Amino acid sequence: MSTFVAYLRKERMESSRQSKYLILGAFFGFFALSTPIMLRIMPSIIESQMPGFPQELMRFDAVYSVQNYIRNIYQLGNMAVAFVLMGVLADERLQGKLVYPVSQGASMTGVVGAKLVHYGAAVSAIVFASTMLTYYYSVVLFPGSDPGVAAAARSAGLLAAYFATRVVIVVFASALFTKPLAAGLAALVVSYVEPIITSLLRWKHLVAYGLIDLASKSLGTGTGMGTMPGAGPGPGAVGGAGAGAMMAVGRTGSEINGWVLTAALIVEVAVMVLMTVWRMKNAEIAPGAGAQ
Amino acid sequence: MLNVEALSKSYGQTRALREVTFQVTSGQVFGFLGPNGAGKTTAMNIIAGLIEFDSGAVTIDGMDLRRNRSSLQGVVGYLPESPAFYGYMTAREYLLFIGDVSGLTSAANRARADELLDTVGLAEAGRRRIGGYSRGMKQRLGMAAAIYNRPRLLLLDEPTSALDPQGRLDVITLVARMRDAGLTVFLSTHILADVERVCDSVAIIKSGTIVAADSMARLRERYIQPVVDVAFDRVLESVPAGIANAPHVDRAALDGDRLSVFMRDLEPGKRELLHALASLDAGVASYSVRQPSLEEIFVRLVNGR
Repeated sequence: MSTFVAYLRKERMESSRQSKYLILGAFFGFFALSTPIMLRIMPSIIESQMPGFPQELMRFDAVYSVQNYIRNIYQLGNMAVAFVLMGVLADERLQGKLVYPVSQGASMTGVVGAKLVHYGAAVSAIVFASTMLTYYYSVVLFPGSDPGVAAAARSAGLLAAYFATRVVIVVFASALFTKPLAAGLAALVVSYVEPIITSLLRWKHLVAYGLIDLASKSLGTGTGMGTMPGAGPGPGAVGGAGAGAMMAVGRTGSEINGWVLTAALIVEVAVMVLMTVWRMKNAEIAPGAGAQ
Repeated sequence: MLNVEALSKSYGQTRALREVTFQVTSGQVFGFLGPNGAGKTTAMNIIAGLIEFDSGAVTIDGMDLRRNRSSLQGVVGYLPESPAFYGYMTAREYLLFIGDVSGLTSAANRARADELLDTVGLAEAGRRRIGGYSRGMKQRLGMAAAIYNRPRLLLLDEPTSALDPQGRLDVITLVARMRDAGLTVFLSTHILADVERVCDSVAIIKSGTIVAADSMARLRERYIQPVVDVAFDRVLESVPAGIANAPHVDRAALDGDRLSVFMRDLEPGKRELLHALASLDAGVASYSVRQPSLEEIFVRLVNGR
């Protein structure tokens, strides 16, 4: 327990002094602010560039604006989380920073647990706050289409939960690889390939990408470019990671059961956490091990 | 205190340690000598419980390292050759972090951090960020972190290699004080003067194999060939026959007016040498028995001379 508490304090200090909170907050905050603003000014831009463009395709509402943010943040937020946190364990092993704590009796379960809890909570809080921010500006800029605070909070919570699972994946990859960049890229590949593979196998209701789908649906049906009348909220609103993710959402859009997904995610996260701890307990943490 | 028995470790095809065996007695400073790449750091990483080994046994305070890894972690303190810290922390914050990990209470932790910063001479710099420290300051902070939890066995990997002469002296003095306080110190280094200054026993490792392990006194007795240096008042053309053929003289090397005589046995050899010198027509300007040094043992054992 002492290791967990010590590392929790250390991670808080590190994130604050190395501006990790600031980087993640600025990144998610930027998209939270810019998404509704861009949608608001897009009709004027398109009208000036393409005078004959049909006006009915450029009518957006607050729901579409928040859903658009969810789509953007799925693609770009994964990059931010992967690249900011990729060295969370790999860097410590690579540079031998675990030598003193471990030789003083630190428990690897405490080290891994503190990092997961800290970054999971920090990223979730930032994502939740940024989603609520985009909801607020969407309602201000597109009056008359408020999905409601409760729906927005539910959506923000689901998105935050999705990014908490990304933290688990990045930390796991960081335990597997000693090079931080390799860990970041591996986590990114998993996040982007996951919806494509699982939709082909019809497992989307069992993986974290289902949270993105639920986050979008919990807002209702939005109005905007690509929203087909009567086609439901899925494909147009949440494109996901390119064509593959769009296909994934389209095929299995209404099949996700929240309880089944929650149970599946608990199992998946628990397995990954245990594997991370196991890997760290068995990894050689001495700097330059093998050099002599 | 520490018993290493037939310890072996390989990295792929490279055999870093080959059946390494030695013992370290409680309360002494044990020097671990060897050229770069001999396996010193690998052995220390194993003893510190940081890496696994292929075969053999390591016993610390009577406890087998493999079976008691977690309970031995607090018993052993380790200063790696290049200690790594969190550069954004101050030295005091880092020591408090180590204390938190060790489970010290808040008051005891603060007292210990201040005490050790003072001991290693970082009391003033303790509130500056470690990222701005010199290598010597990091080494001293590493020493404080290594002994923070009051270990019974302290492993020091090349603690003086990056330091200036004053820094080296400070560290060696600190090591001697730790020994006096009852700590067992395992000191890996290639700076032989440091070993001579502070070590009670020594093991010499070469290519993963221990080539000698004994107390300093016994190593000197066993491995150092006594040498007598003679300076003449003029240049000699060759080694005088009376010296070269003396029964207890192994060999003699002449360099102008200076002659080094390597003895098989010092006492009878000295008598034979004095007789031979008395019969020469050249005057003796000086005569001295060379003080045996660890460097000679090291060079002989490592280079096979």
